[in-house]
Amino acid sequence: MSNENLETIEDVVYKPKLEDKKSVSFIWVLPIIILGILSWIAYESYMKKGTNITVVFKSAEGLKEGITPLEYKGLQLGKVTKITMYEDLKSVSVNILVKNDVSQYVASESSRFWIKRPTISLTKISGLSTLISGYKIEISPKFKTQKEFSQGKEQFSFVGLDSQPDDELADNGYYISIISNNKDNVEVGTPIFYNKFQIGEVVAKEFKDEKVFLNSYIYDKFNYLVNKSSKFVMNEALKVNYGPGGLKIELGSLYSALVGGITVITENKDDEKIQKNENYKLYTSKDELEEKINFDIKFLNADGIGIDTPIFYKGINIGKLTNIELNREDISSKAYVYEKYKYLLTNNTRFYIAKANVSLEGVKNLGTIVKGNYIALDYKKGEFNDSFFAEGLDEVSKNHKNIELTLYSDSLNSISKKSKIYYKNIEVGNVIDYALTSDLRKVKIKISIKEKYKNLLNNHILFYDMSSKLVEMKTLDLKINYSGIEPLLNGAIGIVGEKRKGKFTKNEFKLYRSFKDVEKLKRVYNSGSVISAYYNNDFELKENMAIIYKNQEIGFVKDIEFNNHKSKVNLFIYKTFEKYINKQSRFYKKGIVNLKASLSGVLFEVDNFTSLLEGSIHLDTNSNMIYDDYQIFSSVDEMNNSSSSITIVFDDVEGIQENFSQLTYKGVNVGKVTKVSLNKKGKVEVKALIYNDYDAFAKEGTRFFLKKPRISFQEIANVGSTIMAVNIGIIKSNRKVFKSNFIGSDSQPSINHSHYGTIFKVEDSTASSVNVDSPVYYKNVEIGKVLKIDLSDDASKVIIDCLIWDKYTKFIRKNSTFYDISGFQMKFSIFSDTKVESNTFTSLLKGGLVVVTPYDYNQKASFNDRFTLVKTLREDWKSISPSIK
Amino acid sequence: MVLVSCRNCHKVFEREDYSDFTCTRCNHKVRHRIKDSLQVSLALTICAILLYIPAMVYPIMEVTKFGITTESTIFEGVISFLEYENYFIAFVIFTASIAIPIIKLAGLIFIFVSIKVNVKMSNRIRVIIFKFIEAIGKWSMIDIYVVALLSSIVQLNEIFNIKGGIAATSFALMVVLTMIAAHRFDTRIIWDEQ
Repeated sequence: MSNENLETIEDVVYKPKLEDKKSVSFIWVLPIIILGILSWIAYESYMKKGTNITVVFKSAEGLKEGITPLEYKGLQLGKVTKITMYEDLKSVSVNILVKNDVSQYVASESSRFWIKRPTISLTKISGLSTLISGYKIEISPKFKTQKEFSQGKEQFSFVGLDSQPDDELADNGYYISIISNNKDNVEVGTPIFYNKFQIGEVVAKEFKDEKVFLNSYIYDKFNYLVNKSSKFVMNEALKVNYGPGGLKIELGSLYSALVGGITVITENKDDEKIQKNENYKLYTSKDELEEKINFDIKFLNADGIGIDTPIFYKGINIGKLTNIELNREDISSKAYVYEKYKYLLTNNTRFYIAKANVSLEGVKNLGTIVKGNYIALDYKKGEFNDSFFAEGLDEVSKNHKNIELTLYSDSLNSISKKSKIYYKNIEVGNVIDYALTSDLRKVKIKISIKEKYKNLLNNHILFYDMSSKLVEMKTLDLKINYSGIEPLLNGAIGIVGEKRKGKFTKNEFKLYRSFKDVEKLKRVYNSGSVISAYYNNDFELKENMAIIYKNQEIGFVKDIEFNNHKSKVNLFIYKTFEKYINKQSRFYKKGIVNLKASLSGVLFEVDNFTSLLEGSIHLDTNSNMIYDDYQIFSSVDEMNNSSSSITIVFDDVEGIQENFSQLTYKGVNVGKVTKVSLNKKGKVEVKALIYNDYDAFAKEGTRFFLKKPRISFQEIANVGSTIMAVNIGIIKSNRKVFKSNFIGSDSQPSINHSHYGTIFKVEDSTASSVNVDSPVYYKNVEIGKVLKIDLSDDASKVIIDCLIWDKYTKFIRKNSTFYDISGFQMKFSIFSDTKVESNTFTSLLKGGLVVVTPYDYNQKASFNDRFTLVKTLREDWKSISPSIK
Repeated sequence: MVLVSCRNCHKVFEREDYSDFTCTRCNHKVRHRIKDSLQVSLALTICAILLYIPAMVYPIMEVTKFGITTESTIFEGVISFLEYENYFIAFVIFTASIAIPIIKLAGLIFIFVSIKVNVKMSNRIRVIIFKFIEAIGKWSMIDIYVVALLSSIVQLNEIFNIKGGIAATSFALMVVLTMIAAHRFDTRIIWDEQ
C-alpha cells in the first residue's frame, strides 16, 4: 500500500510554478522625495503663517488688508490680514498675522499697538514702498528684557493706542523735551541744527496741557553740544533785514528753509546735561533770546500800528509792540525794548508813530512802506520810566526849537499839512496845522520855520502861496514851474525876503495869494517917476500891468484916467530905468498869447510869467519918429503900422487875408498884410507892414503882385498860398525915390529884366506843353526857366517869357533857336524798333526848351528880340557846340 | 517561433521566445515589455498628484506694483478674471491649469488601477482614454508659459515686478512628470492576460 502510494505520489509531477519576482522599482524613491520636499515646504509656510492677533483701533484709516505691515523699529513682524467691524460697531478689529519667530514678543501682554502715519518729509522718505503702503502699525513693547517676556502672559487681543506711547523713546539716547508755543509748525522729523549742521531730530510731537511737547533726539555723537545752557530757536526760513545798508536777505540753507528746523545755541559747553523730565522752551526767533524790558505805551490812535510794530531809535530796531488793547479813551499797548537799550526809557523820552512818507521829493522811511509804520522815540535823559504816552509826530517836532508863525489867508487853496515852506526854493519849514479863524472869515495856517533859518525872518518878509501856480500852469506857461513839481502837488508857501533889515517881532503874517501879489507889493518899495501916456480905448489896460523893456520890468501902470477919446495912463517908471524914456519912446501892449501859424509850423509864443496874466506894456525905442506924447499901441504891429506901412492897390485880392498874407521877397517874408479895405474907387487897398527893411522896399518902382497858388502835374508852387492866404510877391526896384503907395498886379508882371537875368520872348503858335517854370537848357544844362506864358497883344501868338540867368545870357544870340523838348517823342518805324526819346527826366515831367546856338552865331540877343519856338529838335543838336565868346 | 518587431525601427525578427535581444539594425534593446512600466508610470503619477497640491495652494505669481506685493494662486487668478468679466481668459486658464491636469491625473490613475483590478471595460476604451491623455497633456503648460513670459519681461524692481511663485515650479514639474508617466507607460500591458 505504501509502495503503491509512493508510486502514485511520484507519478504526480508538479511543475514549479514560475512566478515573476516583482521587483520594486527604484522610481518609487521619487514620490518619497517629493513628498518630503512638500512636507518641508508645508512646514515652512506653516511656520511663516504665524500667529493671529487682533487689535482694536478706533479707525482703520490707511490700513489695508494684506498690505499694512506690523513693524517694530522698522522690522516687519507681520501683516494685516483682515479688517472687520468690532462688536461695539464703533471701532474696527484688525487681524494681524504675526510671524511665528517673533510671536512670543508680539502676542504678549506687554505689547501696545498704534498706527504710525507715514512721514513724508524732506528729511525722510523711508523707501518707496513705505510711501505707497501708507500707514503702518507699530508695536511698542513695555517689557524690555527677555526675562520679562518669558514671565509675561500671552495675549492675542489688544486695544490699539491713538498715538505713540510717551515712554517709547525715553530710554536710551539723549532725548530732550522742548515746549513749543502751538503756533510753530514743527513736524516730527524736523531736524535740529547746531551751526547749521544737523545733530538731531524731532521724533515725537504731543499736545499736552495746551502746549506742544516736542520730543527730540540728539544723535549720540553730538551729545556734548546740548546741555542746560542750550537754547532752542526756530530756524527762520527767510530772514529779511532792512537797514541803511539796504535790503539783506538771509537764507539759512535751502534745506532748512524748506523744512524749517530748530537751531540749538549752546553758550556754555561745560554745563550739565539735560535731564529727562526737564522741558525747554522753543523760541520762535533769535530775537526772543535777548533780554527785554517791558513797558506800556498809550496811543490816542493806533492807526497804522499793530502787534509786532517795531520800535526804532535812530534807525535801529530796539524793540516792538507786543500787545494792543482798546480802552475807552485811548489805546494801551505793551511793548518791549531789548535790555541793552533800557537806558532809552526815561521819563523825558517821547514816543511817536512814524509813518511812511512818499512824496515826489523822495521816499522817506522806506522801511515803513515795506514794514508798515513804526514807533520812533525821541530820547532825552531822565529817570527810568515804563509807562509812556505816544504823541503825534507833529507834537514831537514841535518840541524842537523851531519858530512858529501864523499866516492868515483868504483861502487855504491847496495847502495841506504836507506843504513845505520854501525860501529861494530851499525848504525852510513846513505847515503844521491850519484852521479857520474864529470869525470864520479867514484861514489860519500855522507854520514852523526851522531854527537854522531864523535869521531869515523879520517883520518885512512876505509869504505867498506857491501852489497857486498850478492854476497858472493851465495857461501853458511852462516856465512857471520852476520850483519843482512837489510844491504843485502838496502845496507850498514861499517866502520872499525883503532887502530891508528889520526886527523880527511879529509872528502873524498875511499869506498872499500868489507870487504876483508879492511882486506887486514889492514895487511899492521902489522909487521912480510917473509919466503919462495915452491910448485909444480899443484895448484894455489895467492897473499894475508891468512895463517891460528888453525883458526887464522897468515899471508898472499906476493908474488909468479914462477919457472918451483917449485915455490917459500914468506909468510909474523905476528910477534906474528912467533914462530909457525919451521923446522917441513908444509903448505897445503885448498880448498874452501870440499865435503864428504857417506851413513851417505853428509858433506859439507865450509871454513871460508876469505878463501872462494880464499882458504887459513894452517900451520900444527903435523909432526914429518923435512923438508929442507917449503913446501906447494895442500891439507891436499896430505900432509898426503907424510908421512902416505901405499901401498897395489891387483890382482883386482873392485869397489875401489880413495878418496872414505875407509879403515875400525871394521867398523870405519881409512883411505882412495888416489891413484890406476898399477905397473910394472900388479898388482894394491893401495895407502892408514891412518888418525891417522898410526903406529898401518902400521905393518907387517896386512892384507887388499876387502869388497865386499853382498846382499842376509838373509842380506845386506857392503851396503856402493854397492852404493859407495868398501872399504878395515883391520885385525890388533900385530907384531911390521913397514911395509908400503902390499899384499891385494880379500876376507876376512881365518884365524885361529881373534881378537875376534877362528875359527873352519866344513865340509859338499855340501853347505847347511848356509850362511856367519849365527849364530852359543849353546843352542839357539848365540856363534859365520859363517865367510866364501869355498871349500876345493881338492874341495871334503865344509868348513865352524865358528867363535866362545872367551868366548864360551871352549864349543866346540873335540866330539862336529855341526848341520844345516837352514830353517825349516816339518814332514808329515798320522796319526798325520803336524809338522813344526823351531829354532829361525833368523835361519829361516839366517840359522845357532847348536853346541851340549855331557855329556862326550873331551878336548877343536882347530882350527885344523875338524867337520862334521850333517843335522838333534837330537830330544833330548835340553836336553843335560853338565856342561862344 | 515568434515574430518580434523592434519597437524602435520596426524590423521584424524571427525568435524562439520573447527574451530580450538587441536589434541588429538600430541597436535598440528589444524587450517583451518595457521594464517596470506600470510601476514607474504609477510612481510618477503619484509624484505629479503630490506636486499638484502646492501648485493649487501656493501663489503662482507675485505681482509687485509700486512696492505692494500681491500674490495670487491659480484659482484666485481664474476668479479675478471672472470678476473682471474676462470669461474667455478665465475659461482658458481654468481648462489649461485646473481641468486638464485633473483629467490627466485621474485618467492615468484610472488606467493603471483598471489594469490590476478587474474592471469591466474593453481594452480599446482604455487605449482611447490613454491617447486622449497623452494628447492634451502639453496644453497645461500654457499657464507656465504666461508666467515665464511675464516674469522675464516685467522687471522694474519696486515699481512693477512679476515673479513666479512656488506653484509655478511645482505646476511645471507636475506637467512634466505626467507627460513622462504617460510616455513611459507601455500600452501593451493593457492587453496582457491577467
